[in-house]
Amino acid sequence: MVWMLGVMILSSILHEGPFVTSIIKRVDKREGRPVLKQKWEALAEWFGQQPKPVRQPEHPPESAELPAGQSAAESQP
Amino acid sequence: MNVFYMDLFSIALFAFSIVLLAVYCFACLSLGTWLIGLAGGKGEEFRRTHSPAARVFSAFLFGSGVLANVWLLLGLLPGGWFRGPVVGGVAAVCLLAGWRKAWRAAVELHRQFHQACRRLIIDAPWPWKVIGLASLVLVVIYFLTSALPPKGDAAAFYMSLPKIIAHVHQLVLMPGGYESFMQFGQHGEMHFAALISLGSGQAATMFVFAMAVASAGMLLEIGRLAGLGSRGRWIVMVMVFTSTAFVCVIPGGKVDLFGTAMALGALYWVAALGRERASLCLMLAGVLTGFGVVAKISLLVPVVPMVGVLALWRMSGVGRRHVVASLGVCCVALVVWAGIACVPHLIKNGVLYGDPLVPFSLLLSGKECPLLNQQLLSDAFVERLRYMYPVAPFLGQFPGMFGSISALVLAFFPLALFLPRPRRFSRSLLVQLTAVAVLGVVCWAVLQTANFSLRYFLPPLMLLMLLPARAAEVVSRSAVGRRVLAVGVIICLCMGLAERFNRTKGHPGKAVKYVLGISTAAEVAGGEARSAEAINAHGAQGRRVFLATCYSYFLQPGLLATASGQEDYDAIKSLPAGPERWEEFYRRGFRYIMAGPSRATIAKDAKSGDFYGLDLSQLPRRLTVTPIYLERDKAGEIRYAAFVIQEN
Repeated sequence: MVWMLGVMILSSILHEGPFVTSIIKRVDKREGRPVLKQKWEALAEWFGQQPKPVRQPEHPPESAELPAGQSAAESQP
Repeated sequence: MNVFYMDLFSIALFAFSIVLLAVYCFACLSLGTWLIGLAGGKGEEFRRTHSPAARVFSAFLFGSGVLANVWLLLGLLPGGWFRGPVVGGVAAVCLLAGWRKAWRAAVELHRQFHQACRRLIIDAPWPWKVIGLASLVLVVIYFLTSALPPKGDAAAFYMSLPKIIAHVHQLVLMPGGYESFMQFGQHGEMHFAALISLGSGQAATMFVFAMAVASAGMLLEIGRLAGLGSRGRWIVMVMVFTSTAFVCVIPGGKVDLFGTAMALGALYWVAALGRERASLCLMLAGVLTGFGVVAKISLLVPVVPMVGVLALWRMSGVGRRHVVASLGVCCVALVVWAGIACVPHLIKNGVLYGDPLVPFSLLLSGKECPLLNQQLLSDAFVERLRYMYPVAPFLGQFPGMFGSISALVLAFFPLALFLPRPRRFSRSLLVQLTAVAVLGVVCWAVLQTANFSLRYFLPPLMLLMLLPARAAEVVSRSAVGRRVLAVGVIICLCMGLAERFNRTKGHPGKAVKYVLGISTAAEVAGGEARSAEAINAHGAQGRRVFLATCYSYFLQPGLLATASGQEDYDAIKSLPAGPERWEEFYRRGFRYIMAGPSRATIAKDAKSGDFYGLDLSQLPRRLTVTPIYLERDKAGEIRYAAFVIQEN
């Protein structure tokens, strides 16, 4: 039972299951610094996730895209 | 009013795609049913031995494999025979080949599914009702996401090639630097090309969902042979559809599940040895293995040893006399049938490359073939992966993994201790299947150490689901003693489903908006679609587009077919960096550049940059480059762009 629940909780944490992101944000906000976020990143790195680059990544994630409406062509002949 | 019409048009297109997909799938099923009937798979005995699901999915896979090869050979014919009417005519012949038996089997499958739903949802206790309904909703969500336009690899190759084939009416080398990719099988791509020729690119991407259902169906039927009850099989279904490695390849037209479904079909027929005539089992297993390996070359590493070992293991228990002779016949039969299934692919390579055995012949001649031995992980990651391999498929986050297997598999594995002990371990099909699944994973780990993309070796990983699912079923059905564990199983299943609903990969919201026409393809597909549409709208017909991006699917078919290829890249790069390259570029007829972050770096002012070897700052005076589309990220960097090149 401990094994089953342990695996599922660990999977939920690693794969950002329900409430995980909001709990991390809430605790970090209360603490005033990203304590849980850093721990989460360390855990994810241990399971093989690439460390997040400190500077702006060369190929930012999809979420960094501008919405389609705002990215209109700048000069249309 | 205009928006209203657009919505109706999109919904009508979606409905047409579903109808076309259904008819096409039925043509595959009908052809497969007819061919399996010719091979002796018919009659009451055959119907009693195999459930409707096993018969339908086997016939569908067999028929789709044969049909893919028919399309391949049709595409190779000179004169452009790959046209809508010809494709439609061949599909109609396939449809009529065995429609009566196929229809009967499909009706029986519907009845079987209805009974399973009644047993597992309507008549089940409420926690199982919730799990059953939630898993069905999840399946519907992934059906919707399969309608999304191509993205990633599919927008680069898997769907771009079919678009070209449907436009030029024959099989040609894919431009954009992907010429060598065609050395591998085009099983999925040929189906996509056929469906595009019949009028719907959306039906083509949705055909992947049919393969996903066939994969899951074959796995459940293997489970049935191995002794899993209805609840155990439902748990397997939950495991399959909560595995991101599986569901992430459903949307947008990726081809990984074609090979996976074929391989699982082959394993079903090997597992059926002893229940069914050996000749029929070996024929189906051999052909489906051949189709699977052609559809996804990476399956050569795990699936061929799995099928071989399981077949020998099963045969050694079937024939008491002349064991060695029967094992020899088994090996020969598997190899011959698998070889026959590969013949059209070898013909294709012979026609396109002048070498049927390419890319393996390259390896034999001592040349490098990076596509056969991808190094996705650095040494540090390989080292870490080595000591956590048993848990990595379920919890790992390694680069290139593209999803994981459901953690439910890992969670339920220790419950195997509560399974009743089989009379002989070596004769238990569940033990045999688990052992060959481990063998498949080990083969992959040893031979492809630096590649941990689970979609490349899904069949053994999916086969590993059977033992824990059976164990969870036994525990959840036990009346006394294990009540706590039974509750634990339900909690874990709910957690697994909740995790997937929380982050449903494939963006169902986007899919719903797309099929209802609220969002366009350019809105849901990304910057590559928007930059391509800018070129399409610019009236570029008849001119060539230089691809400084991997993702070309959204260009008009005519532009896509004449886009830059490896020969152009080589010719341009062979010249010294400077204006000469641009002169060569212009001389070759290029008037547009489509750029993306994969192959281009562009300065923020769009006045300098590098497009796959072409430096914008070294433009000759007689040429002008004007941006017609620029898309920036939050930092202001240009990610996607389209340029027109004109003479002053």
